[in-house]
Parts: sequence; structure tokens; C-alpha cells
Amino acid sequence: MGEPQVLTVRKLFLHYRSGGSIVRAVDGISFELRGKHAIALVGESGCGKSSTAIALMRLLPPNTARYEGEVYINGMDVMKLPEEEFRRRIRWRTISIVFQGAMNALNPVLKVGFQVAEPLIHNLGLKKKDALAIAEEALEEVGLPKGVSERYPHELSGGMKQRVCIAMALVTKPKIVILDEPTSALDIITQANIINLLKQLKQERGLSYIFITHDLALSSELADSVAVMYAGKIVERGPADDVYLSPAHPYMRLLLNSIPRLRQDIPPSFIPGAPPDLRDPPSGCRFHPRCPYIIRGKCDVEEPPEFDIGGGHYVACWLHGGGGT
Amino acid sequence: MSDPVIRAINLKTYFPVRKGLFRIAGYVRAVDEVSLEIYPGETLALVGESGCGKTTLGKTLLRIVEPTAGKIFFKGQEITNTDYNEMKKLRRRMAMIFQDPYASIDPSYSVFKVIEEPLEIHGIGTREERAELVMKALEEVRLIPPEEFARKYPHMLSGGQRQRVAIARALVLRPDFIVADEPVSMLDASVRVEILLLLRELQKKHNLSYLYITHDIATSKYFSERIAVMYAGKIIELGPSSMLLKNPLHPYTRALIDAIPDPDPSNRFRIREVIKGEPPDLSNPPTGCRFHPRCPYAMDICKQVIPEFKEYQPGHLVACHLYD
Ligand SMILES: Nc1ncnc2c1ncn2[C@@H]1O[C@H](COP(=O)(O)OP(=O)(O)OP(=O)(O)O)[C@@H](O)[C@H]1O
Ligand SMILES: Nc1ncnc2c1ncn2[C@@H]1O[C@H](COP(=O)(O)OP(=O)(O)OP(=O)(O)O)[C@@H](O)[C@H]1O
Ligand code: SF4
Ligand SMILES: [Mg+2]
Ligand SMILES: [Mg+2]
Repeated sequence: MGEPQVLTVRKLFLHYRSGGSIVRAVDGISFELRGKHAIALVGESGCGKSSTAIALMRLLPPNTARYEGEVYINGMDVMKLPEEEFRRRIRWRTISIVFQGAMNALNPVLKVGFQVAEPLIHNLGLKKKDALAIAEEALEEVGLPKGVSERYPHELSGGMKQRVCIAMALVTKPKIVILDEPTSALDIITQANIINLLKQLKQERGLSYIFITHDLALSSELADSVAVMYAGKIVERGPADDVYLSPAHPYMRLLLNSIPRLRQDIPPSFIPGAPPDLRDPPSGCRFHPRCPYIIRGKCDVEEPPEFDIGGGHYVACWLHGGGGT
Repeated sequence: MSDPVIRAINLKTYFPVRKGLFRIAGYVRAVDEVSLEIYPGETLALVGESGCGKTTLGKTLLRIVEPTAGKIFFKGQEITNTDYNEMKKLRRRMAMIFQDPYASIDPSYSVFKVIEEPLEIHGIGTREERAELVMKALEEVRLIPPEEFARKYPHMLSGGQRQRVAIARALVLRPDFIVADEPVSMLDASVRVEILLLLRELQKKHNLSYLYITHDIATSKYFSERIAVMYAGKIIELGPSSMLLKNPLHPYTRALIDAIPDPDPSNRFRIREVIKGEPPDLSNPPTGCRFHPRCPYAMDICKQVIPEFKEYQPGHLVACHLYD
């Protein structure tokens, strides 16, 4: 509540060229993020979560075919900024990221202290000595013992490496941090320790997170709100209590049913079929070929807009408006 | 109860740590004094953190990796020292499914070839008979129409379909026992459930026994009869799945279970109680109970004496001095 929006995304697109066709990885998505809040971006492999992240960071691959939309950060549309200004004011300084698989991409021949200092040197133009001192602080803040800065990645456990990557994303003091699968290669106990750290940092630093994960159970550890992605689109979004406890989109309902629950006895079930090819997504609602509630002649023809079902909860499904049941 | 399909008694698998070319500096005690049984038609889930020895135990039971000490029985017959030729015959009746369907399938083989290969190795049937068995196996794992899938290559398949191929390959020899090593951990949630339900259905149909190796305790709740928890080379707790999850005895089992989230929006308001530290180095494990350096209840005896693995309730075993 209360907190103003720090990020507003409107009709964001990121398409890639691939062979002779176009991959519609991010296809006109909209969402908001409030200050000191976390939004979980969830969905199956290949639905466009990481593409959304790199679109927000404006770190585009050379085969980008379409990149447009509006991204307001503290009220300013940063999509309009020229690259030089975006680099100076926005990327890392205002919004930063822990990349998917980052802990395995650390440079094996550089001490971790230097690697954490690098964004300060390269992006903010700090002197090496000052940057190293700040990096040292950041490493301590993520719970690593003194002296870690002098060590090399291979001397650290997976959990420690992931803490290094988190320090790297925090060292430029951003307000918004994108966490792309920040625990997916870690053991369950290490994962829980990292999640505790992320909760604590969010609280202490007043951070906002975009928490990307394919793991719905894990997403609920941080999410104040949730955006559910399917085939390049956000099909449902809203406050965490609404989306986890009263999911409105058939996809989200079925996806939640596929999660085996440890503390309840509900045998999991699966969603027949497979997500579509983003080079040639289905007409109408992209979920219609797998949807048990399909309204023939409607869902397979016309794309459902986002319907407002109250309390900041939006669903792109014909069952919730426009002559559905 | 009927006789177990697999029984291990005090099984040890140590890997030498070499210094230089010849000198052995010590051993990685990947499996250390493990005893267990797996019964016909049952799934035993084997859970525990990365590096605790799960894969090594699974491979040792099949003698893909040779045990250092202890005994292995397959359907009552001791196979610990069985020679190569005899073992090859027995291998028909055991199989392994791996985590990464890419790694376990030769990318230059067609799906047909992948599934036919084990039949060829064991000299089963004529070419026509083998083709028929392959088609049947494809139908069983629901890669339909089988003729169409038989012609495809692994890169043309989704992750779930590749895992179905791996299952078909494992099943084509009609085994009694399958080690499924993280068979679904690389798949999305929904596909996971789909594959686990398929494995369950095939188990019922053929009275198969599984050792289901996984990090994912929540799936073992729904897809296994019993759960064994491994820590640093040892099984520290074993029992019927529902009993073990409702009433975990070992502090490590409790810590593991407490760390697992369910999709629940109230999670965001709590900091989870989590044990600190990392699993030990298996070439130099802690004395006494291997968990004692991380255990919130550790007593003096825990540092000195290895706790015995014994029954606490019928069928529910634990190795912890809290239950002495
Ligand atoms: N550079 C690229 N060029 C072409 N296609 C790409 C590129 N990067 C991603 N894709 C494709 O875009 C789609 C979305 O990919 P993306 O990585 O955003 O998904 P994701 O939701 O992050 O998946 P995962 O959960 O597996 O990380 C996929 O079909 C992917 O194959
Ligand atoms: N062939 C080998 N030679 C030497 N050490 C080995 C060998 N195979 C495994 N190990 C070691 O034995 C220990 C147990 O490994 P294992 O692969 O069985 O663990 P795991 O529980 O299956 O782990 P994961 O969950 O990561 O798959 C590890 O310390 C590993 O490094
Ligand atoms: S719009 Fe139609 S097809 Fe799409 S999810 Fe809703 S009911 Fe199913
Ligand atoms: Mg991704
Ligand atoms: Mg393993």
C-alpha cells in the first residue's frame, strides 16, 4: 500500500530474429512495482522471463528484432533516454540484476573482491581503490566472512558464490534489483539461507525486487505481488494473496495444481500438452490449445485483453469478461 | 513381506584421492556403511544434499561402480563379486535413468536406435522382433505414433519427450529394478508430474522397484512408499514416506523439511529457521555423528561416537544419539 510505484511497464516488446522467423519472447507486457515491494515473475521455461529482464536492463542481443514500450522509473520513461544517459543514470545505478546462472559465470582468474568492484569502476567511474573498499563492505553485508575478497571463485561453495553475485548487484546501490533464478542451482538449505538474506536486504535497504523463478513455491517466499507469464504474455497479475489463494487464470490454476505440496495432501496433476513455439504462437488466447475451459469461437479467435477483477488483480482470460461465463 | 529385490548390507564405496601418480593420500567416503532393502513394486526415495553420495550409492547397487566393502543381493542372490559375464546377464534385469536426458542419449542415434541398442547388446530377438519391442516401448511411454517418434533424433524432442525415450530404453529389457537418478529435476513443474505419474503407472503394470534419487522431497511425498535420507555418505533416517515427513526424527531431516517452501503467500513474512554451514568434506568427515558440527542439539557423545542406525518405531529407522 502507501509506497509509490518505482517501476511501471507498459506494452513492452522484445522480439528476436531467429533463422527466417521472429521469436516473440516478450509480447506487449504491462506491470507495476511499488517501492520496497517484490514482484515475482513466474512461468515455465522459455516463456520470456529472462528476456523481460534484459529488456528492462536494455542489454539486448544483436539479433533483436523489435524493442519498444514504455518503462517508467520514478515517473520518467527511460525507454526515451539515449544509451549514454541510460548507462550513466539507470543501468546498475537505479536498476541492477543478478543474472540467471551468474555464479557459474564468475571469472575464474580474478579475485572476487575485484569482480564485485568492477561495476563501480566501469559503470560509475570510481577509482580502483575506492571501489575495492566499497566491494569489501558489500561482501560483508551479504554475510561473507572477512577475507573473501582476496579469494578466487573456485575456492568458494555454491552458496558463497551466489552471495558474491548478490553483492555485485548491490554494490552500485540500486533501488530495484532483478533476481533471475537466484537459487536454482543450490541445495534446499543453501537456498533457504539465500532467501533469508534477500528478505533481510529488502527490509534494511528498502529494495524493490523483480524475482524471476519457475518455482511457484519459492516465488511465494518473496512476492508481495505476482505476474504469471505464458508464451511471452502476462496472463495474470495481482497481489500475492489473491494470485496464490484465488488464482483466476486457468493456466495459473493448473500450474498451482502441479506443485506437490509438502504440508497438505493434494496429489499433484499436470497440464496436458506443451507451451507453444514463440515463433508461431496460437491465435486468440495463447493458452487455448491446452485450456479445459475454452470458449470455442471466442478464445481461439480473439486475444483476451486484461480484465480488471478488482483490488489490483488483472486476468487476460475470456472467462472473466467480455461475454464469458 | 516378500523378499527384497535389492538388499545392501554395510555397503561402502570409497574413491581414492591420489597425490601425484601413485600415492593414495586418502579416500572420499562417498558411501559408508549403508544398509537398505527395496521390495518388489515399491519406490524408495533417496534424498539429501548435493555430493552426499546418492548417485554413487545407486550406481554401486547396480555395480556400475564397484563397492569397497559390504554385500549386495539381487533377488536373494549375492552379486557383490559376480564376474563380468554373469553380471552382464543380470544387468538385463536392472537399469538406470539419468537426470540429463541429453547426456544419457547419444545425439547421433535416432530414437529407434537408442531404444534398440540394449536389445542388441543382449542379443535379444531378430531384427523384426526387436523393431516390434521398440514400437511397444514407445507406445508404453506414450510417444505416439511410435513410427513417427522412432525416426526422430534427440535434438528434435522436448525435455519431457527425451526423458520418455530414456524410460523406454530402460524398460525395453523388462527389468525388475530401476535406479532413477533425478529423472525429473531438469523439467518444468507440470512435465515433472507427468513423467512421475508415467513412472508410477509403469511400475504398477510391471511390478517394478525404483530407487528414486531426488533433491525434491515434496515429490517423494507423493511418488514413493518410503524415504531414505542421506547425509555425508550415510543413511541417517529411513521410513514410510508419510510417517517420516509427519514425524521426522533426525535433526538433519527436520532441517531439510523446514527449508522447503509450499506456495503460500504468508511465507514472505517469515524468516525461516535454517541450519548454517555446509555438508562436510567426505575425504575427512567429522568424527562421531557426521552432522554434529551443524546440529543444533549436538551433545558431547555426538562428537565421539558414531550413532547406530536402528529402529525407533516399526519400519522407521534413525541414526541419532537423541534416540539412544
Ligand atoms: N538471443 C536470443 N535469440 C533468439 N531467441 C532467444 C534468445 N534468447 C531467448 N530466446 C528465446 O526466447 C524465448 C524466451 O526465452 P527466455 O530466456 O526469456 O525464457 P525464460 O522464461 O527465461 O526461460 P527459463 O525459465 O528457461 O530461463 C525462448 O523461446 C528462447 O528460446
Ligand atoms: N568417480 C569418482 N571419483 C572420485 N570421487 C567421486 C567419484 N564419484 C563421486 N565422487 C565423490 O563422491 C561424493 C559423492 O558424490 P555423488 O555424485 O554420489 O553425490 P550425489 O549425492 O549424487 O550428488 P548430486 O546431488 O550433486 O548429484 C562427492 O564428494 C563426489 O565428489
Ligand atoms: S481465454 Fe479461454 S482458452 Fe484462454 S485461458 Fe481463458 S478460458 Fe482458457
Ligand atoms: Mg530464464
Ligand atoms: Mg547425483
